[in-house]
Amino acid sequence: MLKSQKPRKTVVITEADLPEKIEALIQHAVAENKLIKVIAYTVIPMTETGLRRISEVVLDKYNKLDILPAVVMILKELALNAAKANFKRILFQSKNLDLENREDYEIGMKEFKELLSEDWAVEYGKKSKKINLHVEIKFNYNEQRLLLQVINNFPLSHTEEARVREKLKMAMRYEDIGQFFMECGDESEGAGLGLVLIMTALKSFDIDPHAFTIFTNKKNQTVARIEFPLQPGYTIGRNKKEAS
Amino acid sequence: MKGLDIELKVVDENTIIFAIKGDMNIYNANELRKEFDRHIVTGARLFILNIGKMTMIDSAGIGVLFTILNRVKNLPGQVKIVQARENVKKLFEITKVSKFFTLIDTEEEALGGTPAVQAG
Repeated sequence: MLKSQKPRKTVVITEADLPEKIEALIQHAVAENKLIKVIAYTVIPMTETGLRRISEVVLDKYNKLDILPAVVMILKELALNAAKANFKRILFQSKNLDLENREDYEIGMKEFKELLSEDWAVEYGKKSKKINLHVEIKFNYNEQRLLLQVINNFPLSHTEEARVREKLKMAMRYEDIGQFFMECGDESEGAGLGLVLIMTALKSFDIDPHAFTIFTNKKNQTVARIEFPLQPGYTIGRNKKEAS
Repeated sequence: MKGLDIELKVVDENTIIFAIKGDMNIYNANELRKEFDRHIVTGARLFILNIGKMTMIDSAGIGVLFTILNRVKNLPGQVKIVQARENVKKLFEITKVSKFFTLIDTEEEALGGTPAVQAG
């Protein structure tokens, strides 16, 4: 928005804006090594601030603040993807569009991209809450590793699963974001840029890209799971019974 | 509601500065793309993005930066990013975005000493 047009106030939300009760809960939970679960219906700056603060307190406890920027960026991308998946479901349903049908998908996604704004995300967050579509973000940590899980309480459709797998495969292949843009150009929106950034950030910290997985679990939930080693020599435990 | 503030400064016919304020994210990144689209046709060749007041950026925002970079390179022209905050610089480093952009400390340096004039 240009200055000469109608001004809109920019609000920067910081940790200081988190309600004292939430800050106290975070401090207590981390001090007691408790599993932290956040239930979100949308992802707006206040959500991000809360997630960043939890990450910061956890990593500070283990003197691993160096990886905070990567953790925060990845968490935000995953939480936003999960909230968007919920919003897509609501939008498609309201327009009587089938997520599995290619033509319907293109029509729905065109509208989705046009509608997407922070106000719309708040409105759709309320709609998500009404029908109990939520995003659950779990922080499971110890001195060895930080395990993050971002969970939608529904399974991916076959088409969505195929699409995510394809994007993930592509993201693994790219050396860096420049290569991604060479191939995708201006069509990068929705092509998996977030996943490419996640992979690049993991590589920057010498973390095995396989630390990141997306799957449907036995509870029919869609889970994006990522593990950050906090100790040198820690082996990524993809097959451990830590997945929800 | 929280939008992206973009202040435009026209230095001369060749140079435009976009001063970006706020959190550039999936909800508002296209605002910069639209402003850029309006001004790329004016003949400018040097685009300076002053992100000193940009608090954070996500993948959608980074996507718009690369779109701008690719289009300006094709002119051919140049994109310079100035005054990135430490948290944003760090993010650019870990995602290797900094490999593709010229990051500069001040507008004056980016302009080579020419003072900027704010557009009316």
